[in-house]
Amino acid sequence: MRAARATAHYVLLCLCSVVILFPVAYALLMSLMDGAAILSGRLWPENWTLVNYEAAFQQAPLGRYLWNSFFVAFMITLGRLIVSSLAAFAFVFLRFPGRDRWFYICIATMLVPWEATVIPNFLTIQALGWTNHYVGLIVPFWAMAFGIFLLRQQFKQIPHELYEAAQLSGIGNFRFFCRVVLPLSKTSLVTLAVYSFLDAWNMYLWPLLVTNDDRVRTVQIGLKQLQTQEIASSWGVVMAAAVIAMLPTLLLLFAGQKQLRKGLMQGAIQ
Amino acid sequence: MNERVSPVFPPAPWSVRTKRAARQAAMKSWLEGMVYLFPSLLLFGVFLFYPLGRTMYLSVFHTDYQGQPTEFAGLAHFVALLQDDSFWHSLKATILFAALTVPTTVAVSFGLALLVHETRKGIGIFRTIFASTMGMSVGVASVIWMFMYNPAIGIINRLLSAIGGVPVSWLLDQDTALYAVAAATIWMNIGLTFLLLLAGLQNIDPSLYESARIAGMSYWRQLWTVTVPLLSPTLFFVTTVSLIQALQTFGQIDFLTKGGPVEATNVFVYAIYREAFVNYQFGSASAQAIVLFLIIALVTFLQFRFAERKVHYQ
Amino acid sequence: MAFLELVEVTKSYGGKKSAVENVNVAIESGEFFVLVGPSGCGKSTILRLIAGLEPLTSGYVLIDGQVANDWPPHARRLSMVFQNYALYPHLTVEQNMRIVLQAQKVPKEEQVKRCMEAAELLGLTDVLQRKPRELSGGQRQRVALGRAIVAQTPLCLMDEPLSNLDAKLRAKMRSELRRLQRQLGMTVIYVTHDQTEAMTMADRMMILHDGRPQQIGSPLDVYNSPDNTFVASFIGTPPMNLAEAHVLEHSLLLQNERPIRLMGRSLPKAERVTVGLRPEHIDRAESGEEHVTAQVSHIEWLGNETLVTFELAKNLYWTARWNGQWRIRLGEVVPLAFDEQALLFFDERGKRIGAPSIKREEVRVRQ
Repeated sequence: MRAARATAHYVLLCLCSVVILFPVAYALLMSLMDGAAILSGRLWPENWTLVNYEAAFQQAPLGRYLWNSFFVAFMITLGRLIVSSLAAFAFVFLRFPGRDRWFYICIATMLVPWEATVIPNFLTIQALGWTNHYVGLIVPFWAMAFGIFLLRQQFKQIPHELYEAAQLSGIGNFRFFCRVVLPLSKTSLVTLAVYSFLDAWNMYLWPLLVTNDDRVRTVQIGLKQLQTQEIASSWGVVMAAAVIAMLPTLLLLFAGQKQLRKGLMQGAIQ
Repeated sequence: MNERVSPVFPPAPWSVRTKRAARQAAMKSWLEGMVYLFPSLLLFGVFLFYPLGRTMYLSVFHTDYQGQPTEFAGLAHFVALLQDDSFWHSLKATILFAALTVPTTVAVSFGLALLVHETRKGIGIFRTIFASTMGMSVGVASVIWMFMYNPAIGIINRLLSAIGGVPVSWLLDQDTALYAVAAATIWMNIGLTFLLLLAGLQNIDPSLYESARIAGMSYWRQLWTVTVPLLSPTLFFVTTVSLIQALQTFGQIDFLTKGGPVEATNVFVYAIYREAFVNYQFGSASAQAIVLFLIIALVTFLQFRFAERKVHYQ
Repeated sequence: MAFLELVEVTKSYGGKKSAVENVNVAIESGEFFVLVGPSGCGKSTILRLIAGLEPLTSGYVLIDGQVANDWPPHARRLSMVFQNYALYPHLTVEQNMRIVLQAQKVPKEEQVKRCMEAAELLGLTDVLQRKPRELSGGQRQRVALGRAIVAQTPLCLMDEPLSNLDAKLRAKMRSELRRLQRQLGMTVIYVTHDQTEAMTMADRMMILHDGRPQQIGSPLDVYNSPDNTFVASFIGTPPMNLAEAHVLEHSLLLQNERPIRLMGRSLPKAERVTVGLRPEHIDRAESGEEHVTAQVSHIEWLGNETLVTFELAKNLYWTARWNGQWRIRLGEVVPLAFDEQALLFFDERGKRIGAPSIKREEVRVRQ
């Protein structure tokens, strides 16, 4: 009885995995076929080939796109960690007039969808001359209410006595922040980092608006370019590019999945 | 009290100084707090509050193609929107899209989370697989699904014709396009939703299940009496997050259908994008953006209120 | 000049009652001063006011004769041991002690030297490289102490530092702490809710109730001459026996029921009083002696002594403490002799009437 249930459970798990993994596997298989095989509609390659990967790197500056995406996502993540943790620290540990009011203002920003502000933001970036520059892709995303909120929840778990002990021994606020608060909040910081990186890597509308130069375009826009240029003739190349583009985030997710699961809950439901 | 206090009371002027000192201390603490908040406040100011205000401002003006206001329009843009069939169409498409994606995403993710909640050998692998679509960016997911939907060589039509069906131009037919995009979207969004729900499940005190088992409850009864009520805050949170996400859909539309065919997939954000950056009607686009803001603010606000009550209820 | 002085210190959080009201005390250098009282009596608040972790509502904190009200915590040159120890969980024992010295810009060799000394003193040498979670409760407690020691501040504040330890360890740490304090010449202000700790450790103590100081004095002083009924019942285990009484010409009428004849004790002028008598002042009457009889309602054999509770009147139970092991049965009626010189009288508001039987100064000289 128990064994039968276990078997049924595993069968169900495998079925779901097949369905979920299918698009990825499909893309991978297509990327390893030559054009004729794809057009013939095969599912399993007869001759395994890497020509599509070579072509992907030759026909488009895919390496450049990947680097751009990586750099932009990395800088957004870094900036978010710094900006959010500073604000969260002030909200949890410092006592100053108007603190709660500022906190509500920060939380209120969750009400505003990015899309509702995108037009003036585009005009601002244009006026600043930041179009086709990394800064234009990075800086607007540094402040993040969710990040502040998540880290605030975490910082609140740190016993207040630690802060008082620090004050008594003359450990300044900034020193306490760097030497105690940040090391004690590793899980939440990693969570926020993974989440931010995926989020930034996934960004589409904004880079579409503020870049039209291969030197700064991200991989999402690169895929779009590739897809519009190529059409039917070389689907294999597009699939090869897609497989390459999914690797970094997939690896990050595999590495950070557990942390992400633990950390997200802290900020999400409290 | 027998304790003698030695008479070293401070001289009178001192108490005046302490008041000033207290004011100075308050000022100092305020300044210090502001230093920590400054980056956030500055960025929110420049990239959120200012543009929100500016969007409101632009929504009551006619603008030139560079986005500069030219002439006061009053509520003309809003009135025009209400009279515009394509606005209503876009609203309808957005709502339909949300209705198609949100419940399905949550239900499927919940099912998957339940499947991997029990600890069994190798369950970690399945958890990773189920969460994996979170690592699929909008571009990657879109091109893969676009190929799968390809009328001539895509796998879906291949399978269809294998069982004797008629090939369908999924993304080019206005009856199927929105459903096709919705299916791809559900797949993309399952990862995050699944991860959140699994985390919620694991937050439930295992002793509750043990006592339910001792009371002889069946699996399904446990699901209804323990899991669902205790997970309801998470379920609710996940639903609102998915809903907001659905209302903001843009990338997959741009990849897969460009709002077509015949505006069948012209969801809200895509409509705004086209109005502003293709037609250069910044004023009218701003008016639509304000409508979007109001809808999302309402949803978020309700989430906050409800979540707050939930916390008390627990 | 006193080392630390509180002058009319009051703290209120905006509620009707202040958390701490009108505290006056002068603490001498090298003194071990205990703040004791039930939970919520404001003793920890006083400690936090001294540390500068919270601002005063009114009054003055004087350190070395200087008003320190506006000094930030670190400028007050004091250290604090918290109830939960407040150890930095991600730092090793050594780092936990050194982080304090780093903040004070102590040279590196000096840091190491002081750490080694403190570790030696506290028996922590072997665990210097461990993190707090790898230590036992007692070791953590020592690390917290070590942090206070390495700082070499003249004043150390301790907020219930032993309350997270088990009973046996706590008793051991009490004497160890005192020994350390004497050896290092530290001035300690120690907060506890445990009157035994206060009695056994304090040079002087302040008893607090509802944010108001009840009495300041040496342990014996407070034990022998409690200023009011609260102190009388709070200090001492088992607590002092108390009863409402009418004052008659040569006797007392306890709770309108039980008359007690007094031979040589002068009575206060008041009509109604509260009488108090410590358990050790109730004895078995010898035959022919003036006595009161009462029924045994509860007995506790502690091995070296026996606690016997009698029902003196309806709902009036007094406990006697007798040395040795007594074979008594429940319900037995026993003749009792009260040491009438030890009787204490309190007025209707609970304040003690009359002079203390032992002079305060004597106690302080004698110890």
